[in-house]
Amino acid sequence: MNMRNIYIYMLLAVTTLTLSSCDDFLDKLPDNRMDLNSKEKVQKYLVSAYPDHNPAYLTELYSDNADEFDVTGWGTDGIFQDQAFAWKDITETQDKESPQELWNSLYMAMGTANTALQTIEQSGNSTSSDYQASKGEALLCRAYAAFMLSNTFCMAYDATTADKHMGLPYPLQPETIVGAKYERGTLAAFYKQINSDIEAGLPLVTDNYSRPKYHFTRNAAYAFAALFNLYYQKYDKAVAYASQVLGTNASSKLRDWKAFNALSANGQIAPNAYVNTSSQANLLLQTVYSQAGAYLGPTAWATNMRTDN
Amino acid sequence: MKKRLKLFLVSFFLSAGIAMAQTQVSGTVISSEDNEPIIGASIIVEGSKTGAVTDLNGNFSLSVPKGKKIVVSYIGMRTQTLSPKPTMKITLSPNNETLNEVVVTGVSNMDRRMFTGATDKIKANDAIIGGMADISRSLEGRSAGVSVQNVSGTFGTAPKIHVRGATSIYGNSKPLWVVDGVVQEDITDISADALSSGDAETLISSAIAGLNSDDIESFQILKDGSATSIYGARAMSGVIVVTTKKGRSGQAHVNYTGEFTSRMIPTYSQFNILNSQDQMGIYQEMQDKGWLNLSSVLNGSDYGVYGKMYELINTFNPTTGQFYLENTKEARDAYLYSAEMRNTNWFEKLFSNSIMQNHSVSLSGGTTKSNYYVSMSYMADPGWYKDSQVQRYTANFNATHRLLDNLSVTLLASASYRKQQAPGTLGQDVDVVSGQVKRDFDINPYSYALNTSRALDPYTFYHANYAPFNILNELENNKIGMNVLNTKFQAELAYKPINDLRLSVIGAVQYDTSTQEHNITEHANQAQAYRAMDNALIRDANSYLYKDPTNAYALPISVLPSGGFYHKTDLQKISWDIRATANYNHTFDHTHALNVLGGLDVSNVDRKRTFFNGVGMQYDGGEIPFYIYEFFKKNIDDNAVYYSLNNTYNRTAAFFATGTYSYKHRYNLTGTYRYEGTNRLGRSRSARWLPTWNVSGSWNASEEPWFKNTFKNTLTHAMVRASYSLTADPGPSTYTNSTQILKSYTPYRIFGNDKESGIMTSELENSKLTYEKKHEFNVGSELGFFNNRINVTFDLFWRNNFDLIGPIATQGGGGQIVRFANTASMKSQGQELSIQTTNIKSRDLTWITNFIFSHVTTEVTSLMSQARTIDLISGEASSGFTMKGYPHRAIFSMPFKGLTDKGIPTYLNEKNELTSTDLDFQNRIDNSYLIYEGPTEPTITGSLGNELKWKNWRLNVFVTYSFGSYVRLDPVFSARYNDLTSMTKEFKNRWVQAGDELTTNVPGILPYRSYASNRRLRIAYNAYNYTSNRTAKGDFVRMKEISLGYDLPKSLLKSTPFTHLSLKLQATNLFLIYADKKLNGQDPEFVNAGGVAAPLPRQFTMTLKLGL
Repeated sequence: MNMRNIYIYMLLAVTTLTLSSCDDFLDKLPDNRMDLNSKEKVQKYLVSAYPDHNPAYLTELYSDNADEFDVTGWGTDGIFQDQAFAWKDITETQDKESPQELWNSLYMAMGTANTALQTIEQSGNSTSSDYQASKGEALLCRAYAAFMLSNTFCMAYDATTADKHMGLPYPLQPETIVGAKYERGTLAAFYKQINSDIEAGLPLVTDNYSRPKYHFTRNAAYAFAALFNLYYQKYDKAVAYASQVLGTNASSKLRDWKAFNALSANGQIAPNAYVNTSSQANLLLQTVYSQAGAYLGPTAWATNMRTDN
Repeated sequence: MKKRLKLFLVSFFLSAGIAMAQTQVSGTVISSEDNEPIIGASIIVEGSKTGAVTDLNGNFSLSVPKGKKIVVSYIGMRTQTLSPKPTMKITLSPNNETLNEVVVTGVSNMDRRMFTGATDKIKANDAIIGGMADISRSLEGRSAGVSVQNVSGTFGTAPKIHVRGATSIYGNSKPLWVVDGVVQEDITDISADALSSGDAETLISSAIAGLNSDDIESFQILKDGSATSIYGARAMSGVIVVTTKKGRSGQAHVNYTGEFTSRMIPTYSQFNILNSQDQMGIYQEMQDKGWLNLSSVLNGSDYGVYGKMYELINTFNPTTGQFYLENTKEARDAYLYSAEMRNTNWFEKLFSNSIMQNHSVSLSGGTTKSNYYVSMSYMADPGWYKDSQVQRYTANFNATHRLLDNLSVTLLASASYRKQQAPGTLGQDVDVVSGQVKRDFDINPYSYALNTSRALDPYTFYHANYAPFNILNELENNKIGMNVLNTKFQAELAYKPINDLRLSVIGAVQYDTSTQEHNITEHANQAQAYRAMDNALIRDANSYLYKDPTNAYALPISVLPSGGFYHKTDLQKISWDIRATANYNHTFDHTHALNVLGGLDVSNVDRKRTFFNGVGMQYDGGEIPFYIYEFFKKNIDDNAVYYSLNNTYNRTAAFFATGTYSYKHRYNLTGTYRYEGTNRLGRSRSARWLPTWNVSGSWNASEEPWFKNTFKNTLTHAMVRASYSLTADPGPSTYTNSTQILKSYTPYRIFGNDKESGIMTSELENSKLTYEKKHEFNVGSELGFFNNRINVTFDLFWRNNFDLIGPIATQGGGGQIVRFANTASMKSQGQELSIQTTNIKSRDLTWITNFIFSHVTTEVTSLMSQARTIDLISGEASSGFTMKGYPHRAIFSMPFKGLTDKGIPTYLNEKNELTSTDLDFQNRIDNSYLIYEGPTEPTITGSLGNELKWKNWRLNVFVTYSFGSYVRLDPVFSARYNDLTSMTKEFKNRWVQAGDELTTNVPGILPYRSYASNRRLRIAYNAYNYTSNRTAKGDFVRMKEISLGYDLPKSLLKSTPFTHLSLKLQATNLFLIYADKKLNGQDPEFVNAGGVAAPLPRQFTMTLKLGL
């Protein structure tokens, strides 16, 4: 009998031991996926907090800049052009210029900013200067993506009507389940949140980047704040922020058109100069996936685009 | 004197009396299985301790008191109690635990009468098809409900096996292989659709290619939930338990098996390829229509007969002072005429019927204390087609030792090494705009022979990819060499502390590694394409050259000025498994039997995959590489992979328990519960851990006391069973976002010095990612009639697969509107029937027939379709895809509406307009306009086997059949053809002039002018390959095997050292008794995807078996 009891106790001990270590054993990630566990990684992660889509081509088609060209035998370059021009429901969701892709890109930028902010919060030394700078950049990125969203999908802001118009979801946490439900809220609340993000991020942002022109430097942040406050109808603040950027010698911050027009018209010389990081007028550059350059550019490009390869 | 005589007589009679009271018994004890003497059998006088033991020849000698019986016993045999006679020949038979009456689940062995699940046992002797080195192929048609589609015949490729149909939409549905109680995981996780893709990775898709068929004793296929729930997740699609041979006590055997196989070369009469004369006729029409003129051909990327002719006209021969071919009509016509008459037989050039051999030797035996089995085998396959040699060496060792009466230890080790060659191949490409599926640089001999014009000369260099090309040269210079090693080390300890309790621990370590080296020498077309710039036109057109994007005035340069390529892919798998079980088995009062099993198992599978693209390897230059930095610059610009490393870690832990209660073996009730966790799913308890369970019961009517009297000999066995279960699977391994997945990337910047590296979110987190699950209800019955001369088993099942991974549209607040989650569901149902009849059973003649039939249908009940048109009409390797309300994999067609008066095909597109070119293959929104053809997986599968035994002869005829699937014919139509490709006999009926569109549906040859003015016409022609005209039924009835065997009579062998000798001649895959005529020779099972895919050949095998 005693032997049997000993067996039973041993069995119990073994099972409890295995149960507790089982969860640890199963905690190993199934592959070598990355973890944001250092300041440098958070900084690198914020490189993708800027949206990589732009509504320029979509809104161009929606506007009166696009004419209908009734030449028999000519068609549109794809169903997307048809739908956008005629203000129909856009079913070509895979097209790079489609609202669905734009939505994905902007909310992905917001989600990236949210993950960075969450990582900084949970890191334990969130007050370190590097983390504070990243926090500033993340807040501004989040506000910027939200601002682009409202420009495309919401009504124009007017203080008198803003709380009657619908806003958009403004997530403050990264999405961790599929099918999370968000509330749209009002346009007033949406703008209020953008404003608070900008105000919180402005004092934290620095110029400390390896590629400053592709990130929110102090100048870029103030310029964005000025732009936003124009839309927000807070004109005094807009002037104050703009003055921050322009300083005392405003012309040193503006584009030198005389020098630009003197450039050769050949090849990519002028366009390359326009978007060059060395230009004093460029505060924040963004590379996006778009065919706007081909469709809206000079005629030669437009016809080249229509050749099938 | 008288007194002495009286004393003598009294003592004489006394002793005689005593002598007579003791009988001297002597005799031999042999085994009923193989008539071999049993060494060490014990013969004991009943009730006493005196006895004897048999010697090396099975002989014994013993005195037995009068009136006493002797008890003859031996371990593993049924004990017999007999009356002694002076000379006895005692035959012992194995006891109740015979193969037929035990169900081997891999975790435990269960009495068949108490087992309530749907399962089939297949003896290796009956199933193994000689000459087929991979045993999984032999399972075709052997078990009802198990469909085996041999999608490729190349060694190492796994057939597509479904047990009762598919269980997951995006996942695998592959059954679990268990070998000797340990799970055998694949070295690489390939999806079931990819098995027929012809990609080089399929060469290691078979988990059991390393097992020699001669080492296998039996297969046990566990089909329904009650059988598989003990394995939990991964067993949702069925379990195949393989048991290898073990030694038997009291015997010692040496066995040799030799197999010699010759495969027939395919012939053109099986297919409908045009001969060279008809082909040249079409080329003539092409030239009339503006194709095949000198300048466009010579500066084009590919050319054949016409191109070679122009090349000769254009090339000056300095020694003769003339051009190689005169540019006169007579010279050209003569050249073309020689091509017309050529009729090259590519099959003869690329295939051979050289003999494949497989030799295996095994030693087995044992004593009362231990038994062992050791085997080794060597297989040499010189290759059915060029570049397909295989050599395989296997070694297998297992031994069991009984330390004490209740303690035994088993050690098992096996190793298999395989060296294999395959023709060099890259992955398949789908051009989603035009709808064309192609594979760059495809030199698979089978698809080459079918797709290449018979007017070409096999030794001439034509052109492909702007560089010289000759198939024989390419096969010499562009090969994949593989080295695969599989090893396993396993140990098991079994202890019986009390009579009915068995404790066991089993542990196994497996190491598998595979190295694939794709050697492309500098003489191969694939390497020379990177250097092809014969003139400025070619230089500008060749996409393998590199033009620096930062320099507007740069000219294309070659990034591979010297040497070839060395691509190396390494896969490695290290896994260990530990399982501890306690099994209590007791019968109370001879009435109540209780069998309870509980245990836990833990497993860890680590996989590593590395890829290396070695550029500039100079094979003829001492194997020294030569590379320039521009190659890496091009790589970065193209975002191509230079080298990669990929590690995955799979861990599982589970607790399980199963209990069976049986009342007099009549009424059985079984319950199984398993609680399993894996590291692949979310960290929350509800997502990671999953209980799976099963409840089943059966009624053995034939054990009822009234049964025998009611049915007498008509119905001798009857059993009814039912089960209901919940099983699960972790889901497709590509969906692992239980936590967010981040990736390094370099955002696009125009100027090099603006580039910076960043990290992006590749997949959002789904913390609730959980198992795919299935509910299954199974009802079945087993009946035996006329003394079990007729055995009938049938099962009905209904399955509900839910929580399957599928796409769902969300609000997109996280950045992805369409996300994948456990939202899809599918249901399936089926019927299975197997009938075995012993038609004749006499002393000399036996005739047994086996008929197997199963019918399975699947239907997707909930799926938000994200499939594009191209996925539905073609899909991965022509397996199609699915939509809600359709079977698991179905193929759809473009609605063809006839030809125009110019011979161009027209269709109804998604807007219901009649058009030739306004087709969108990337449409995801609404694919309801497509025509549904049918499932690509068969609904009815089965077989019919007949075995005749007359004296020592054995004749076996085995036919397999499959119905319900649909296949796509080879895509041969295109808007532009070149003079390299061959065409099929349908082209004889093509549209030629206006008016023909009323009588034919075969599109005509497009004039060059029409193509140049509207390149979108290529869409119209590519789409024709996906219409109902190019779809055929995949139904077939195949004469799978005819074999004739002869066992040499034992009498002849008496004077020889051999105990048995048998010879068998076998013909496999001889012909298709029935197939859809539309296929015109195309094999309905095989997917001609190029790459490394090859069909199953017709082969003849001679098997010689010797035993010592």
